[in-house]
Amino acid sequence: MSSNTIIFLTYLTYIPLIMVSMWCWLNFKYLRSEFKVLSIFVFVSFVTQAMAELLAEFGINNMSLSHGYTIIGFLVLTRFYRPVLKPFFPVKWFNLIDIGFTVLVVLNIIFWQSLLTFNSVSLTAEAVILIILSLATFILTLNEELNQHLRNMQQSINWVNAGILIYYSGSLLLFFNGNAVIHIISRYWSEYTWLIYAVLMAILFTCLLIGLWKSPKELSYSKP
Amino acid sequence: MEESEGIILFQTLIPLAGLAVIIVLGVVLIVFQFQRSLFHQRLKQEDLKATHQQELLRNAITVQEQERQRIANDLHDDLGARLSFSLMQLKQLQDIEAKCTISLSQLEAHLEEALASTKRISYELMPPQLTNLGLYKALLVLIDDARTANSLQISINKLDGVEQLSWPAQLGIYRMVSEMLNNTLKHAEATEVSISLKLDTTSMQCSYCDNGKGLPKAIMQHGLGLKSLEGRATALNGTFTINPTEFGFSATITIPISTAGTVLNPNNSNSFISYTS
Repeated sequence: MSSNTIIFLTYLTYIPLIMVSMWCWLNFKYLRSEFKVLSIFVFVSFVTQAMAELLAEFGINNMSLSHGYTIIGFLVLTRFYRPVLKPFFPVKWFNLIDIGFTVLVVLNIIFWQSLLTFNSVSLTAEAVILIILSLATFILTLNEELNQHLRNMQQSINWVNAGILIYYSGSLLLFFNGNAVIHIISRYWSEYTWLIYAVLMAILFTCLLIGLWKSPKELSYSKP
Repeated sequence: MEESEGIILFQTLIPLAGLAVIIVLGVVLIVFQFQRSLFHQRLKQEDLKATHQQELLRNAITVQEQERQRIANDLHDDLGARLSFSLMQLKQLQDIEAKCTISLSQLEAHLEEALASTKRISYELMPPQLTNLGLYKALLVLIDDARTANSLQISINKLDGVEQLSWPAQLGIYRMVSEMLNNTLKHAEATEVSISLKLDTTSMQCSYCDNGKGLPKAIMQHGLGLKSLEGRATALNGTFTINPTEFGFSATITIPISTAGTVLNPNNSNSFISYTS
């Protein structure tokens, strides 16, 4: 496969992100608070992706965006899991996870991976925590006794959760060896790896779109 | 080649295996937390259920007592009054119609019986002594009645302050003692009964014991009378305990002061009154 084809296919995988961003833009006010958080994640992803492409076009290092996206994305996604796991998972644990992760990202930027380097450490930590949370959510949704509080949200939560689990499990290897992929392996193989990553992103945003689509909406009344 | 395989093993596979272990441990920890929370939720639900049941029981007993009171009042005020009036008129008629003396005497006897039955039913439904004079005096009358019906030696200690207990508590204790005394009279073949009342700052205790045959095992487990006693005590947030004893029957009713009412100066050192047939 030629390098241009790989780049073209990579661009093609942005379609779900664009679609879900547009859908969220049009339906934001009808979404319930649990899913508004996901819309914010979608907007942040869209803006970050657009800026990354723009910076890459001008030949400017865009790794600093990844550092920012990691922390914002993580904090937003844990906000999504809070109400889902709330009855059985203390909120203080979530607060501890959020604070711990933020400290790790800051320490990583200061001591190990600067803003111009690929942040594989924080991305790996993010993936590990979100995989644990998504697996726990699956266990919760599959148990009749535990999922009482989810009621009509369960289907959409399953879609969103499946997207998060597939994306973060698949890209864990990539994040974990990110710097090695960029430096050791040839540019051709590196592009192949990024294509796989883009496919995983496409899967994530497709699942998010279906999940948001199926989510229960707030009723809106127009003035007579 | 071997060197690159070593690098892959140490740089990639072992740390990945470590990550997998971390993920598994994390999931196990969360599932454990789920189970713990679920257990606590179940306990809370059971507590709520028990409280709800206790509330239902209390309401049922209150409604039952109110209904008894209403029936007693109706019997006494309405039927009793009408019967008394009829009897009075009949006596007047008897004086006028001397010829009809025999049949009128029969009618008079019937009416007198009806009046006596009305008074008895009314009394049993809601003893006037309990309403007017309080728990202790009502128990004395109850004991006196039992003594008349059967050659029993019944003793009870005098205790001041019981009249200050709340009405549901006095009524509950009265009904429970009445039930136990009734059981003794019917089944126990006892010769002695002892009732002991005790009041302290936290609870009211009533101990009851007789020297009869004791309770058969079947009644201990499934007896409706015992269930009713337990239910009455539970409705007052109290307990009904059957004490282990070699012979006879012994039980203790404990009602906390919080539900039995506030008693400022409980006095336990009172004289002991004994009734002997």
